[in-house]
Amino acid sequence: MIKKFLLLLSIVLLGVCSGLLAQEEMTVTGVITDMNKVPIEGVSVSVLDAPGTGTLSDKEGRYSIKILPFHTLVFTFVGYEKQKIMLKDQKVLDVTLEDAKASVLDQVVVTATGEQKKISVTGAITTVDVEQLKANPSTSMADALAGNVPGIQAMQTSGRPGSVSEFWVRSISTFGASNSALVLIDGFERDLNEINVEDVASFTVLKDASATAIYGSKGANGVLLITTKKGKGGKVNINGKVEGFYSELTKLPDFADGYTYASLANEAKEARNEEPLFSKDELEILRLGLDPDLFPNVDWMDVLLRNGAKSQRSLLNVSGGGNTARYYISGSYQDQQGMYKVDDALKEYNTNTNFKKYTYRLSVDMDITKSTLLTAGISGSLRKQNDPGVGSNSIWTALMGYNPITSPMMYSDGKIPSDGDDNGDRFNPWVQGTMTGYNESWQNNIQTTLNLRQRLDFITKGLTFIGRFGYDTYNSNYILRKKHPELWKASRYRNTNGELVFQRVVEEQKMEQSSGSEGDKREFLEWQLNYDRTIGVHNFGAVAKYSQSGKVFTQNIGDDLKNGIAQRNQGLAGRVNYNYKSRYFIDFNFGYTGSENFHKDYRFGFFPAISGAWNIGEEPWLKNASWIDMFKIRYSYGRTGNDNLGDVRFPYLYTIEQNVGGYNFADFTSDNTWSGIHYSAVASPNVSWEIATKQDLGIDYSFFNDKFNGAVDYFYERRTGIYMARNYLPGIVGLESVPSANVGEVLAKGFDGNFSFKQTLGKVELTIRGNITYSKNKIIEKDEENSIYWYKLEEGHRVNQARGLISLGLFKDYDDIRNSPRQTFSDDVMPGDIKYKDVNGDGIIDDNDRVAIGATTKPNLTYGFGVSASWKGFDVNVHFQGVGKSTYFIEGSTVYMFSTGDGWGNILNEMANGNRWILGVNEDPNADYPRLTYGANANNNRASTFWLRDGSYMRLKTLDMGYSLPKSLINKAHLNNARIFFIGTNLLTFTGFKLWDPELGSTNGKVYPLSKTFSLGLSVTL
Amino acid sequence: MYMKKSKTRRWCRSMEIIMLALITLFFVQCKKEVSGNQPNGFDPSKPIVVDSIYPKEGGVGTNLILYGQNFGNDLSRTKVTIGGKAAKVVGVRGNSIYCVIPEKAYDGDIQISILDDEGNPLAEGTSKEIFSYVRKWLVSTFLGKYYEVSSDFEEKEGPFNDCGAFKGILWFSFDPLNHDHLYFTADANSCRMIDFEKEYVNYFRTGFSRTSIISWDNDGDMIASDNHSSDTKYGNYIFSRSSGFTQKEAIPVYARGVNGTMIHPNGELYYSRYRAGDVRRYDFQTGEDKLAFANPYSAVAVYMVMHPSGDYAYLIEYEKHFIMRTDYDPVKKIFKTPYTIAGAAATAGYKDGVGTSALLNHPVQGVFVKNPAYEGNGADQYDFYFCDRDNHAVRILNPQGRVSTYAGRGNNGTSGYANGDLRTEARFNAPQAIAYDEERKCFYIGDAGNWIIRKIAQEE
Repeated sequence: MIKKFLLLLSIVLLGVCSGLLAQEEMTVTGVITDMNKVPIEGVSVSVLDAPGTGTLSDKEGRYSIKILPFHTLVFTFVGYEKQKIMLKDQKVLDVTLEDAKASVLDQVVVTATGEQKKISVTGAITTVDVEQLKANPSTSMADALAGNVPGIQAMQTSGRPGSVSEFWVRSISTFGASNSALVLIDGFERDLNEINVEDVASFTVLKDASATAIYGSKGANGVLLITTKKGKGGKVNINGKVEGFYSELTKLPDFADGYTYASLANEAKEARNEEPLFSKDELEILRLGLDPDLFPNVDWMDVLLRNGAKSQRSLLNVSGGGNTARYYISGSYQDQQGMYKVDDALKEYNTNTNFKKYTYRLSVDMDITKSTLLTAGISGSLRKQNDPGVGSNSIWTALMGYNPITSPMMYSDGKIPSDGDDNGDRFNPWVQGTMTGYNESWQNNIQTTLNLRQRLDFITKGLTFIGRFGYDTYNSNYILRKKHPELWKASRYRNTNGELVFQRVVEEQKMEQSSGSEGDKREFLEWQLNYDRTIGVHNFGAVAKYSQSGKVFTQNIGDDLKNGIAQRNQGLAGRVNYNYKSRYFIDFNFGYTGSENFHKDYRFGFFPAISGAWNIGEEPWLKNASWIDMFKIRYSYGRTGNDNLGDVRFPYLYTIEQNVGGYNFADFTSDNTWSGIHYSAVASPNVSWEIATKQDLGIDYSFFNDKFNGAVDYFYERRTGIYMARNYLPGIVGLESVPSANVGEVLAKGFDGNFSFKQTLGKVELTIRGNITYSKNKIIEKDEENSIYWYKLEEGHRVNQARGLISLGLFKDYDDIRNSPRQTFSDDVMPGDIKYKDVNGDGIIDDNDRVAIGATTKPNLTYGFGVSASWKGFDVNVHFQGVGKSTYFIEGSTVYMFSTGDGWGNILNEMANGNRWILGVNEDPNADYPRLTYGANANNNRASTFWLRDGSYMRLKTLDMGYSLPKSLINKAHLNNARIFFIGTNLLTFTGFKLWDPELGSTNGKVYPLSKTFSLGLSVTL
Repeated sequence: MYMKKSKTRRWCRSMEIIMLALITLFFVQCKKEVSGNQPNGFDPSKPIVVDSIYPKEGGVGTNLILYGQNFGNDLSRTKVTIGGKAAKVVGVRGNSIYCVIPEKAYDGDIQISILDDEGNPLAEGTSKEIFSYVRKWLVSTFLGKYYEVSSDFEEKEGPFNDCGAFKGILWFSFDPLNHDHLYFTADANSCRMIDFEKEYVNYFRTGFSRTSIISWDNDGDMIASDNHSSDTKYGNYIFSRSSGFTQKEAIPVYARGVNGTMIHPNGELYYSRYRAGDVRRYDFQTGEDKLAFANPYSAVAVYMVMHPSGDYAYLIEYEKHFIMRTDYDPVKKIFKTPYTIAGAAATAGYKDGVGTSALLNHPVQGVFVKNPAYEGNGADQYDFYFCDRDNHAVRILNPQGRVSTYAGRGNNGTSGYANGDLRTEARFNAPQAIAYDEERKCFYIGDAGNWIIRKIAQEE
């Protein structure tokens, strides 16, 4: 309609013009195309400074316009850079429009209620640069978040293929059941780990209350919003990428050899006035390697682990479409191989741990009418995982437990050795890795999404209706095929004839099969009305939304009726916003949400949030400072909730059970017993969600044409009503079971921010960027046992605060022991044992002297910074990531040397060769390791600052180098773009902690380490 | 352009040469490792030299390391003889050999031979140093089969070399008139008679569900006790020698939970009762049954061993981990109220020491053995050897009340199955029964946890 009107208008106007300037005018014609030589329809062509002289290009991109010589033609179209061309006297002018470079003011951000211009955002929202996540070789995007996204702290606690990072938005602000963020993919709660990063169109993190209040009782821990790619009209666009990986373990614990082990064991015995464990002749036999059965020298890490593993991933996506429908189709395959060696003789199956992920995604956008858009999408994934029969945890327990002389790989008569049974934990690592069968598990997921968007301009301008429906099915299965051979242990000594004496420690188990499954289905429904209107300098917006969702377990639900009831949520949400001249913004939004898990009086909650922003950059008195693109101060205040109680269902219901025993209403020998009933669980009817009251003060800035930009946020959150068991009610209350209530309170505050700086130096385009997240939390209230010592309470300390004694070094001599407070953990403390501080001054050291020391295992500071540069076809991207404010205790059989007293527990080289207190040799009271003990040592082997380690580290997370082949070359092959790249991850690590990879946060090292990965790949766009 | 090309080519060629050299080197290296001098690391053109040995002295089972040159690497082709006896070679590594001293290697001269394919010596070497062989007291396996796989267990009668395993051996007792017959009880398991003359192990059937103890009266008849839990059943039976110990006759006194019996040279029978916690005296002549003394604890298995003189007896209080002594009143002809002699009542543990400072853990049978070192001391000349079941050891209680460990717990261990030197190697698993063989000068130990009978004797 408008088009026709405009055309008519221009014809009329042209007629007028031609009447005036007929003799000097000329007609210019040409074709307008995009970079891919595809004609563009509807480009507005006009003459500069001649209002009303415009035309539009037709379907073939042709245009025709009359113009005076030496005037300038202007070509504009949404999504393309505006082009101005001065004409002399040519009659034909073909134009190629370049894709638009987004300016700050045009940048949009995906928020809870849809797309919003970045400039108008009043809440704390981070848009994640998806490109930065693509270099990550892991199978889950979660592993790439730490150090890349301001406001996210993460930790990867295992490197086993298929295992994923834990992450938190901003801070852990509760000790309740769940502190993990809500992840929404295309608007619905879905699994972050199954989505392929290449399918992601946008990724935003909603951090404060104003951004998450709409999610009501689910938004307290932050929200991750992901939208997936959709098809674009025009030519078919094909993208392909293949990548091969080679990964090595970043850091393996380094163990002492057999002779060193035995010598240390003797030292440990002698240090406590006991006979040495190994006689002189046995040490000689070990040193000379003369008895491979009883005194072998096995490097178990070397026996079981490969030097490196090869993995790969590839993907293909196709998009395109016409005026009425557009499509996006993608598929990906990823294969991650583990580090275990396999028995070459075993052909039937593979025991190495590995992970394979297949994903697919189909999305079709259909313009049903001019104002109706229907999007139908289906996506799914299959994740397959393989692991040795006993499982990886067991293997790493044994790898850390088996010392070089525990047993050989195989006895010389062919018997297979094992230190013991212990459900497989004590099988030798080679047996565990290769002879215990395998566990095959897989998870698959099918998701259907239907999305209807109807513009309701006929009611009032700017009104849109959006309806969404989603249906997901998920299931997870495993088949464990387990077996093990007959295992033997040779007695510690040979018999008098010099022969080995065996004992069978484990009977043979033939291959046996077990399986299990779980699954659920989810349904989502949402209706939303959007209203956006600009009247003069006043910009209004409003959103109203209704949502409901249900999740029900479909497999293995057992006989408890509660398990078969869907977990349902229902909510109303809304948002009203207004801004004046894009200068002053105010935004109110709320969620009114309910969960069926609570009593009806406590079922629905109202979560409001208000926020405002002042864009100083738009003030008239700053308009002249053209270097300011944006300078915005924003503040928000609001409430959100957390209704996740873990597995607890319907806490407001009581459970009644029949008593055991009872009274026999009959004679002796007859049975007519009646037993009473009692409450086995009292009802907790007042239980409800946690409430997070959040405040956020932030600044967004962009200067010098977006050369400098960034954001800083300070946040302050008070989490109240944390659900917990009331374990310390006085007995006088007379309850039979422990009720629960919303009694905990935590305060969390901190800041996060990011910056980037872009500069072009000659032909080199340079970007420097960085981000940081810091948080600190404090428990204000928790139901815990009272203590006369305030420092023993969790109140006033961090959530999961590390606690222990304060070490004052090692005892110098017996006088030192006599003159120090008595240490009650052990009767015979000797010089070289750890000396503790008497915190409460009562003259004895006991558990009352334990205080908060260090920080928490999970980091409280996460940062990342990097540089990228491109020059002609070359590009380089370097990214560092680090964490701080993280401490953990080291303990376990490798750290507390010989503590098990039965030879279990290998000895780290660092400890064998480090500064250790040795009687008569190195009686250094400041030594790093105390006097050795063979067997338990209750004094030394306990949590204290002596064993507390700083978990901070910085690592070269990503090095990404690429070369895009010159256009002249690839165009011949009908390609649009081809890039060859090399990516290295975790290449360098800087840390003070040397025993194993610090990121694991492991106290004993018994986990699959992280990998260092080198990958080479090719990506092609057709 | 041409220059450049040739340069590259030259560079390539030099690379080729280097690669070739590397490959050759690789093969040479491999070859050296695989074959080298035959057989395996042995150079026939050079002599076999033994420079030194460690340790210089020991007995059977001692680990011996030989240091020298040109020993080769092939275990199957290395032979070591010590004192003319073939020694087990466990490992050989060019310059060192680990072998185990064989039995009766008295002369201690050491010879090394490297054998060819047919097992004939290729070369020989002799050590200048002589190993000094010491005859030791050793623990060995006497009777029964040790099962590596416990479910393979077999119980049977048979000759000494094939008589299965013995479960639960509790109490040894020699026939006082025929020293070739050794009986043992085994609680709920089968009792046996070990016949040294025929070298055969027979079942000995008492007909009781639990046979606790066998002792002998002064006529040479056997008294076996039925450890039952009834207050109205007889506990002690006489098996007459005349019937070949097949006919039994009850002593007509109800006795519940009899664990220990003994007969004084004067002819009275004493028996302990578990639940009642007392020791009673029965007179064969008069048929009188009366309380001798009350035990300080009830619900204790009290095992009793009389001193050969009859002057006193030891009461081994199984559940309470200590030993008491009761003295005989020759006037009243009865044993008197006992007193503690070793171990702390009701405290289990392992500690050598005097009197109550020593700790025991479930002691069972003991035996008095004359110690020639005490001769001339006039007083008591006997040491008391007893099985300390849960300390897995044989311990000695000397006349002065000092407890020490005689055998077991080898190499700082506790339970197990290992033969050899009494303290540095041997291990038992819950030994309960012990007997001293005066004729053969050795001990027999009923190793209840290993299901076999062990022997402690000096090497011949």
